[in-house]
Amino acid sequence: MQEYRKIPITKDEIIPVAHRMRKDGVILSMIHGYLDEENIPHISYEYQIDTVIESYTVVGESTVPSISEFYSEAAAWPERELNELFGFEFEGLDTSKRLFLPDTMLSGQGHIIVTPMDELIDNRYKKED
Amino acid sequence: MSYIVPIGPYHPSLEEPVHARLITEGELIKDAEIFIGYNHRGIEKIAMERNYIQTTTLVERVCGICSHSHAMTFTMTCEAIAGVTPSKRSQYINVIISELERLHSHALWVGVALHNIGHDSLFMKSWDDREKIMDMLELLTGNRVNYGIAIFGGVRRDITKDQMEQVEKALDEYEEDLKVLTDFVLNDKTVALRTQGVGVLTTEDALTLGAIGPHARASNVAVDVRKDAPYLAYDEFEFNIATYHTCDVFARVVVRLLECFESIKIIRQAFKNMPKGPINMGNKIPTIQKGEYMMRHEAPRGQLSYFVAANGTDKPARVSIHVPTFKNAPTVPTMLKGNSVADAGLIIASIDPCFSCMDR
Repeated sequence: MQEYRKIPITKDEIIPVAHRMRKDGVILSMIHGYLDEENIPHISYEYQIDTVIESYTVVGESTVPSISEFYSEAAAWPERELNELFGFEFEGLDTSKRLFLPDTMLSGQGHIIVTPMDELIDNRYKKED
Repeated sequence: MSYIVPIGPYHPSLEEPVHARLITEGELIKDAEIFIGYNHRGIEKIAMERNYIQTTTLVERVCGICSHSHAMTFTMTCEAIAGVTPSKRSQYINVIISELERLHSHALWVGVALHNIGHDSLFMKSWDDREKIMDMLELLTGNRVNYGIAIFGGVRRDITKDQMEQVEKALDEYEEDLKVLTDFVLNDKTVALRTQGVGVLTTEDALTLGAIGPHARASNVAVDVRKDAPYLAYDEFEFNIATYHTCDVFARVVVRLLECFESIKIIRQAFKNMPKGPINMGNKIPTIQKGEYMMRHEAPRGQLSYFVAANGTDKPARVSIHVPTFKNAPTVPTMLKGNSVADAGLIIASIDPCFSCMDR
């Protein structure tokens, strides 16, 4: 049966963990992120080891190093997604082009997951007017 | 001299919008880029505004093909946070619906692939056969899409003995049709010419780029969540992981056809060994306390994962949906390189993309 194991790490441990996992041939399942009720960022790196998902989680950092040098596009796409939808920064990640959102949206725009729904609706109607 | 050839967002060979930019020299593709987001509906954002019951209905609408996979994986994740284990009978019913969904999804994709190479007779045969599976799903769930079967703590609807007999009979007929289709596809000269050696993704590239599902298995990577990390009652079923070694579009067709036979095998075993007992928890709605969990499911296109962060209220703090196409789409530029522009549509379609799933 599937198991989910949460392992807290610091920002400085992200690269050594990614390096070790890549060397051991471990699959990076996904990179997730969210803001909790106190607006504290949580970024978790889910590595798939047989039936277990080892979730290495960094709390309280909205700027972290990119692990795309180890996991190529498998890391770059989730990082770009988090960058666009949450505004989290990944040092070393190429964000010159948008992945999800239109090219016309400049950096800093379009963080829809963290923008309150009322504000999104207001912006939408303002645009239409 | 290089030219940029845009494909999409709206293109006859694509069922859903995506934009690919091909850098070409003559007919040859030298490099490619892919851009997504044309179907972004903000489903993850909306999920944070609704309660868990409403979100189950919402996530079922992420995709029209693998709708059950979404609702089931979401409920499995929430059940894991709540510490609830659904009854064995409900797990078997979820397995049956999941495998029927895989059958119709693969039949749909094989049809689309054949249409893309211009073999419309086989396209129509594949879709005609698929109707039998849609009828089975309608019989068991009452719907052709968005079955609404997965609920917290089990399933919404039981399967009667009479329904089992009808589906078993229909499966026998479908299996015969599938054998005919497989024989045609494997021996047809047009199919071979258009698919063999086209859109190659080597085993090494598949592993590096993180390909999953039938797409990875067609590159000879034996990954399958049902075997690697069993969930529901999958560890009680005997089936094989279909892989193929040629790593091209032909391999992707072969793997999906072989998987259909394995799915039929699983459904027959489920009917034979169906446990007795309740199908859900009745009126007892589980409380979802504070916590995080991630569950994986082998959807028709590959591993579908749901990450749910619960904050102790009736609304999730975060529902993160990661679909197979999100993992397989980055492999497309690698597959396109060195092929001709005429094959680009087929190569993009060969990952069995679901851009609605991916964009959410």
